[in-house]
Amino acid sequence: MPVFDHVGRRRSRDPRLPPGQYDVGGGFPVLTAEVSPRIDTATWSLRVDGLVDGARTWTWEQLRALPRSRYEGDIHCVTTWSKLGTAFGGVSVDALLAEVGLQAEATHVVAWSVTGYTTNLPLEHVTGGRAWVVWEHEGKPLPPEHGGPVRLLVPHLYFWKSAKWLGGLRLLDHDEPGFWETRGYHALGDPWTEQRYDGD
Amino acid sequence: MTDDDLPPLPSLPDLPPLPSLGPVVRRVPPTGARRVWQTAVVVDVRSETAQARTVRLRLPPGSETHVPGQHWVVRVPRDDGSWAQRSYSAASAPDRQHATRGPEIELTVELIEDGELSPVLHALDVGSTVTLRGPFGGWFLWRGDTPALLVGGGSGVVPLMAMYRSWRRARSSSGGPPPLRLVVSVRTPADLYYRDELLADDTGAVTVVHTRAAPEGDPRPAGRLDAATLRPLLLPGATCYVCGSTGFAEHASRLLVDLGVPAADVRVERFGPS
Repeated sequence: MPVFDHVGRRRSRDPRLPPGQYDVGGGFPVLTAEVSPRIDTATWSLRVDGLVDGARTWTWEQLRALPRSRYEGDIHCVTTWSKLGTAFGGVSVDALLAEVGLQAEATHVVAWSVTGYTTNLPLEHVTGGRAWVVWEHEGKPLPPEHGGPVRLLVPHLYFWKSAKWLGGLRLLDHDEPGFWETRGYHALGDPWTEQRYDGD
Repeated sequence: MTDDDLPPLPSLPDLPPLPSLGPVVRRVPPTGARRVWQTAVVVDVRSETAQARTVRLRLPPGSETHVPGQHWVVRVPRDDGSWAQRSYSAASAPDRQHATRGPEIELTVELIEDGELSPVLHALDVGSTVTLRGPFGGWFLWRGDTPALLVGGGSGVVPLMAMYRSWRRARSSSGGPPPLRLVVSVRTPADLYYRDELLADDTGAVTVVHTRAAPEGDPRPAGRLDAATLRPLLLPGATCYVCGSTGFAEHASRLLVDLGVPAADVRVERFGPS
């Protein structure tokens, strides 16, 4: 995910910035490895399956009828930009998991995109109010380049975990490293301990 | 890095397989394999354009060099005691092994006037030192084993140049590499990185597209990269590498898909501002 340079000089550090990060201000850079897909919400759906009591698929309309949840706070990209005080709207992953019923053996999640992109997450990192499935950013529909219509949001981890163009979540009893995690990036990606690459 | 293809990971029985952008390429050893910060010495600097300079760095002996397309992370100290770090793609073909010194790499850096890294890197002279680690990247890289169509916009040519240079070098050996084509889109002739080298290409592999002002005598009038330009350059079975700004990357990758290239064969890297 290389990037060139950007504005970011600061005299004193904002305590919301994890180590090695800079404040991108009003910007919202786009970083993806694949061709942006064209998604029609009339045919798109979200599936949650795997180690659940009953796998479920939500249409665009059904998803938006679920109880709304909002995240307002910071996001951090492994390429070193952070965006502070930004807001997303959607539904909490807790609410989706409550609908399908978690089985006791479930320990990990793979989030997958319609492009084939995947990313792995330990279950405790997407439950307890720490993860969302979102379709709004700053009160507006999430643009395609930022993963619209629907993306995952796991703001306490580097942003490659927040899969764009989300197609589903699969609950597993083991860890399955995803696209970047098998290509040199860290398995978890905690920005506060700078887990950027393998072995960090 | 070890990139040996591994079989797909097991999923769950009775469920459709998870989608994929390709086989799992690497299982991380539990102990990790951290890339440590290294100190490199500047052995050459040169201007590419009014805004871009190439810095040639010598890494410590025994250092790993890159696969074309990979990048390095460079850091500099901030006033407040923290570090600023940014990624820069290698522009050079991978250096050969040397018995007496570490490998050398070239990074091309675009100057961002109020950036944290680039003014520092533009101020380097021969003999200066740089702190960096790498190489990184397990997706946007070319190992020379498939045909390749490289499409770069502006500074996005940098990682593609490592691929092109590697291909040029392999051509002189027996057998030769699969076919490769490089398309570079720039606003004006003055914005072309590696100008002398690209204009001296005698392989027919290089196409330069000018979007604002074309040089005198150029048969193609200035204009945005289009399907008519790309269509005759498509290579059967090629992996396509698109690199540039988000606007360019979206445009070029969409052109390729609309020309019939499978989306799975297009790898994209977006360059800042980031």
